[in-house]
Formats: sequence, C-alpha cells, structure tokens
Amino acid sequence: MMLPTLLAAAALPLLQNGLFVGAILFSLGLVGILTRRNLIVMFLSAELMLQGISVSLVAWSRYHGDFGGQVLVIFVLSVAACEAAVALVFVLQAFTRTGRLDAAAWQSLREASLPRSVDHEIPAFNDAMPSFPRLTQAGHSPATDEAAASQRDHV
Amino acid sequence: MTGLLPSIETIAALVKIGLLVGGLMTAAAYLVLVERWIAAWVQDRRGPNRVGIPLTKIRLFGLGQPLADGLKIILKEDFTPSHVDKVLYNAAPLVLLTASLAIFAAIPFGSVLPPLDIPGLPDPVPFLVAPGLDVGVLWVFALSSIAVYGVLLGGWASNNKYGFLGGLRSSAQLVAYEIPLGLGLLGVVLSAGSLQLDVIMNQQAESGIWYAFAQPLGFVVFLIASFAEAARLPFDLPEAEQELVGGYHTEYAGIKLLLFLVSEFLHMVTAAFLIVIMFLGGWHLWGVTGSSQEVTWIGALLRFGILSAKIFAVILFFMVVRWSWPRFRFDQLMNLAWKVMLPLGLLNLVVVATIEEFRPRLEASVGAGLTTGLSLGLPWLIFFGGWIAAGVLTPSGTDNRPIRTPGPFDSERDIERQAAADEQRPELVEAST
Amino acid sequence: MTPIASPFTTVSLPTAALSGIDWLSPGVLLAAAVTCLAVSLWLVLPKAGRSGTFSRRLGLLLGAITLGLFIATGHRLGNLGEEAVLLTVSLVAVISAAATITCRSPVYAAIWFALCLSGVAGVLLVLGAQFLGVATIVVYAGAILVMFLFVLMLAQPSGLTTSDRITNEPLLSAVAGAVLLGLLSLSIGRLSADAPACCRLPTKAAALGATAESTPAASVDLLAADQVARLGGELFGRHLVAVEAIGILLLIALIGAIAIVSHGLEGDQAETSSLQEGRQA
Repeated sequence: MMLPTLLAAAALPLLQNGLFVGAILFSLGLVGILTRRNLIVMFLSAELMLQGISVSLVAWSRYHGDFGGQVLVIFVLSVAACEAAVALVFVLQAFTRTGRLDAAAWQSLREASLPRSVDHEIPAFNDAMPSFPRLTQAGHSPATDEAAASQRDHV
Repeated sequence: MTGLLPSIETIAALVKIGLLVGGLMTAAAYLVLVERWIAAWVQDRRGPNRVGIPLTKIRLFGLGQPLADGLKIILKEDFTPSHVDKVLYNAAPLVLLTASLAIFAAIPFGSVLPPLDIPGLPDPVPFLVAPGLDVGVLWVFALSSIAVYGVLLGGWASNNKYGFLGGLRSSAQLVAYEIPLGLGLLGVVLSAGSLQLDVIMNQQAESGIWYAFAQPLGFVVFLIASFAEAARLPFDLPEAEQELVGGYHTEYAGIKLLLFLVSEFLHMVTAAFLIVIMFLGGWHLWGVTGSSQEVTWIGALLRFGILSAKIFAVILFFMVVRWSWPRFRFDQLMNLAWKVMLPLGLLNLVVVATIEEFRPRLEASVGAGLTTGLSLGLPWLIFFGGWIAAGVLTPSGTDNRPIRTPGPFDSERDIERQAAADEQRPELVEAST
Repeated sequence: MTPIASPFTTVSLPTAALSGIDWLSPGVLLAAAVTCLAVSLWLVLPKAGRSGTFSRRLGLLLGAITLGLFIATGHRLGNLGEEAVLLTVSLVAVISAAATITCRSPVYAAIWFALCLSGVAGVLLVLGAQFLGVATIVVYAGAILVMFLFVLMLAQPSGLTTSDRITNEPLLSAVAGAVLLGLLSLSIGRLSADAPACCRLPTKAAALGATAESTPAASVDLLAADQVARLGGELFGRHLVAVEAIGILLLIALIGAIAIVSHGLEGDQAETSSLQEGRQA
C-alpha cells in the first residue's frame, strides 16, 4: 500500500490530533461565515466547517474501528453537493437581481427590530487597478498612436 | 519509513517513476512528430523529414525534429505579460503538469515481472508505481479534476479575453464530459468488481472477453467522452484557433507553454491508456500472451509490447480523427454530453447491473455457455437499439444560422436586416424571447 | 494600537502574583495560543481604514506563533515519521483554511479552499480512509469548486468590490472563533479512558446505544486491503435506507435548482413587466 496511512500510531493521540485538526477547521469556518460578506466566500466557510466535521468523524471511525463514521462522511459529502447546487442557483439569482455578491445587498430581509447596516468606513483602494489591453471592436479600424509607435521603449 | 535508508520497495517505486516519466516525456515529444506526419499524410504533404544528426547530411526521416523543437522552445524568452496575475499565471502550468503526471501512479504499464529474488521486494513485481492502491480509478478521476484547475487558472490569470473564454469553455466541457466518462467506467468497475486497473486487466485476460465486446455501449460512450476530456478534435473548443487564438494558453510563451502542450499530450496518452486497459484487454491477446500471473522474461516483455502497441494504435486513431472531423459548436457539444451521452451511459450501466445481478442464477439454471452468450448478446442488442434511438430522437441537424440580438454597435441597417431574417423563422424568435 | 499590545500586557503584568505558575504547562500554552489566534485573526481579516501591511505582517507573525503553540500542545504519536506526515498534511489544511477566510479576493479564497481540500484529503488518507480522501477531491475540488470559480469569474470580472475589503465585526468574530477552539481543544485534551465519569471516552457499545441489537464485539480492521469493498458493503447493507434517501435528496436538489433557475427568470420578467405597467399607470 503506497498511501501514507499511519499504521503504527497509538490510537488515542491519533484520535486527539484528528479531532483537533477538525476543531481548527470548524472554528476558522465559523469566523469566516461570521465576518465575510461575499456570498460565495460565506459559502466556502460553511463548507470549511463541514470539512472539519468530516475529519472528526473519520478520526472517530479510525478510533472505534467502525465504518459508521466514514459512511456518515459520505452522507455529508452528498448533502454538501445538494446544498452547493441549490445555493449556487440562489447566488446566481441574487447576482442577476442586485449586480453584487454582497450579503448586505439583501439586508432589507432583516428582522424589523434590527438596525440597518451601513458602511461607515469605505476602504481605500490603495493598490492601483491593473491596466487592461484595449482591443478595437471588430469591423472598426484601430486607432493608432503614432507618437507612441515611433518612440516605444521596447519591442 | 522509520529508517534513514530507503527501503527496497521505495527504490523500486522510484525506478518505476523514473522509467515512466522519462518514457512519457519522450513519448510526448515523439507523438508530436507522429501527429505532424499523420497530418501531412492526410493532407497529402511530406511533413517534417529534414532534421537528423546536426552538422551531417544524415536526415533519419526527421527523427531529430522533437529535440530541435524542444531545444528551441526551452531557449525562448520566458516572457510574462505585465497585465497578468503573476502568482496564478506561474502556478497554472505546474498544477496542470503535476496532475497529469501524477495520474500515472495508478495506471499499470504492463503485466508483472518474473520473480527477481531480491530480498525485501515482494514477488512478482508489477508494472505499476503504486500497487495495491485500492482506489485506482478514483485516483485517476481525482487528479484529472485537479487538472481542470490548471486550465481554468491559466485562462483567468492571463487577463485576456481569449484566454478566459478558452478556460471557461474547457472547464465546462471537462465537467460535463466527466459524467459520461464515469458512467462508461462504472460499467466496467461493476463487472470487474474492483477499482484497481491491474485487476480489471487480469479479469479480461482470464475470461478472454474484453469489455469492449461485453459492453459496446459503454465503450463508445467512454471513447467519445475521453476525446472530449483530452480536448482533441472534434472537441477542441478550448483552444479553437480560428475563434480563440490559442485558448487558455494564448498569453504563455517559452517553457510554460511547453508545459501546457506536454500536459495536453499526456491527457491524450492517459485516455489511450484507460481505453486500452479497461476496454481493449490491456496486455492480453488471444493465444499469444497467456493469462496467468507466472511469466517468463520473454512473456513479460511480450505483454509490455502488446500493451504499448495497442496504446499506440489508439493514439493513431485519435490523430486520424483529428484530421477527419470538423469541430463541434459549443451548444452541440453540450447537447451531445447531456442529451445523448448521459442517457446512453445510464442505459449501459442499467444493462450491466442487470446482467451481473442475474448471472449466477442463469448459470445455475441454463449453464455457463448459454449465460456467456446471453451476456454478450444482450449488450449488443441494447447497443444498436440505443444507437437507433439516439439517432431518431435527437435532431439530425441544427439550425446554424446566427441568432443576433441588436447590440450597441449595430447600425440601423444591421438591425433591419436581422429583423427580416428573423421573420423567416418565427419558431426561433419565439424560443429566444 | 492598544489592542495589539493587550496579549503582552496580560502575560507580563501580574508576574508577582503568578510567579508560582508553571509557564510551560499545557493550560497556559493553550491560553496563550487562543489569545494569539484571536489577535492574529483580527489583524489579518480585511478591515476598512487601517489595513496597512504592518498590521497584516504582525498578524501573520502571531498566526505562526499560534501554530507553533498548537504544535507544542499537540499529542505525541510516538513515531517520528508518522508525526511528520500528519503534521505536514494538517498544516496544509489549516494554513490554507486560514487563508481562505482572510484573503480579500474571492477567487483566491476559492483556490485556497481547493488547497485546503487537498490537505483535508491528505488527513483523511493518513487516518486510513482511502476512499473518502479521494472522493473528497473528486466531489468537492472537482465539481463543486469549479462551479464556484465559474460564478466568481463571471460575476466579478473587474477586481475587488468594496464588500470584499470590509468584514462584519472582525474582533468579536475572531474572539468567538478562538474561544470556541480553546474550549474544543480543552475537551479534546481531556479525552482518555480513565478520566472521571463526566468526560470519559465513550466506548463503542455506549456510543452505539444499548438498543443496538447487533453490538459489534470486536472492532473491524479499517486498514485491510479490501477496505473500499467493505465500506461499500457497510453502505449498502446497514445504511441502505439512508443511501436511498440521500439519492432522492440529490434528485430533489437537482430538480429544485433547475426549477429555481427557470422560474426565477420568468418571475423576474413578470415582476419587471408588472412594475413597468404600474409606472405607466
């Protein structure tokens, strides 16, 4: 067997380490889903939490010597696939309606008692926007810049 | 893993990896030459036949061409355009090549060696980098889905509309055709009862019935899907030169372009390996190779030669097809995947499952010979039935006249002309609104 | 800059009172790690205004310290080679998970997530689940994530938007995540067979419940050569009904997604036309 399966490790520390990796992934996913505002990044964070759960389940499965945990992870995978299909459609619909992937674009759906979320500080765009090559529309003759063509510093 | 010195098994694996990677890279270089010869043959030209040994007049039928090409492309300036996303631009070819090479860890390239009597090395030594990998076929799938990232990221990071369109087309195509590919493959896995490719080969050798004969529908579906997965004509939309310049590698030059091109050829080689191993019997040939696991040195070499010859034949088929068929349009490509290939693949899977379910009972009641005949006859019936159904139910031709919605740059005359053209086919206007 | 200095002040101020404490005990290390984690997450998460490179670098440094502390408090496997393998794959998973939630560009977030998935697949392989490790890559990295990249690339062709550069309540969330992780790792550390009754490691029989009629006497060998076949046997034997249910769920999700797309377009058109009629009226 070529895959680097840990064969000699003691059972309990292996379980604890597996659970710990799962806990880290879960916590990071939690932070992501609480803070980020891009709908897709929020979704990725939720998937991160699911990954944490999967790792924990497989660790338990290894410890107990039972396939139950692995079977449960297969179900987690399938549910995640369903969830991704439906969520992606919702995200696309939301994008076609608002033109943004921002969760705050849908804050009119919040509960009546909650205040409106307003961005008080707009971040500065300190890195310059990249310059894109501009191509001429098909069927039009390209605008030539003769000065630049005669003096360009590279070929 | 505990000792400092690598074990004999690790050394054996490293030797196999070296042989495999060296062989694949050489094969990729020389397949380019073969492809150009085939193209020349189809187009009634002579093709590359000049480059031989440098500084002499010896031409060697042009066999020096791949070396010269490789040297030229490696020595070219490694130019990075200023508007690209540097990190992903550099990472994309590496991802693609790594994934395409790592696929071969689970693909056997021969049968077994005769016993070597080296202490510490389990006998017999299989022609496989990672023997006993329980998930062989899935490994191939996983890595080919990682390879999609190379294409997608290369197209996106280039920051070029042709590159981007090529990347999007490519990933849509690969994701769509992975499903029929998997369905064709599932039939074989179901029959063989194993995910390991060497076990699948051995089963065909033992029974003498290649899966291409037992599951013709699955074979055809898999063949067509693997053409699409390898992005070869008639499915080469990701880099359709006439539409997209170079597709996702438009902005690449020098060694990175070389990496992309090599991985494309490796995709084709992978597809040929899979077709031969899973459907065409692998190293097995009736009456020549035998089917047991005990082999002599001559037998082992013979099996290796037969496998290589079959793979080369499939690759030649790929190349002849390239110069014989026109390219699909994107909607035709997607229609073929979802409306033809997917149902046919499902049909094949159901037939195979039915046969495998009833095989033991049939053998008990009517005997083994009749069972084999039935299990060979029914798939062929279904094959022709499915073929006819697909031919009848799908439209034989599509309306290829362009549908245009008026854009900001259209003149009044364009719009009027378009409206006049639309009036002639009201069903299209209805469908598009 | 006061919040940055806070972990150091809490550690250094009460030296006189706490001189009797063993500074290298796991509890103290864990507390330090949790504090570092919260601060570094807060520093690295994109924020409006003071998003200077200095604070990001400080955050990265604190994150590295956190990782070091976590490794120090980790549990020894007793085999150096295996520890190295587990550590490598776990670090890939954890670092790229942190990068997923902190990097600003959603496309990069998705790519980091793909790397995290390969790390997770490595952890699963190391834990002996070959099939799941590869299936994770096929299902997640292969299909789902490519779809997400599609949407991202189609939706955001022109750089970052404002909402990708700000986060909601970064401090509170970072503290919440770090505290959750601290609590979880505390309880994981206390797992052992001879612990007091409150936190004793559940045995398999107890975990399956007394009602399970087929309490397995001995645990099966998960690492045998035919493990994929036996996982399949388990899946289609003991869990057959659940497999059928999940198949139906997948079908429903598929149909639902298509229905939402087609109805959504119709609904949008109907809505806009009714709005226009209302305006004209």
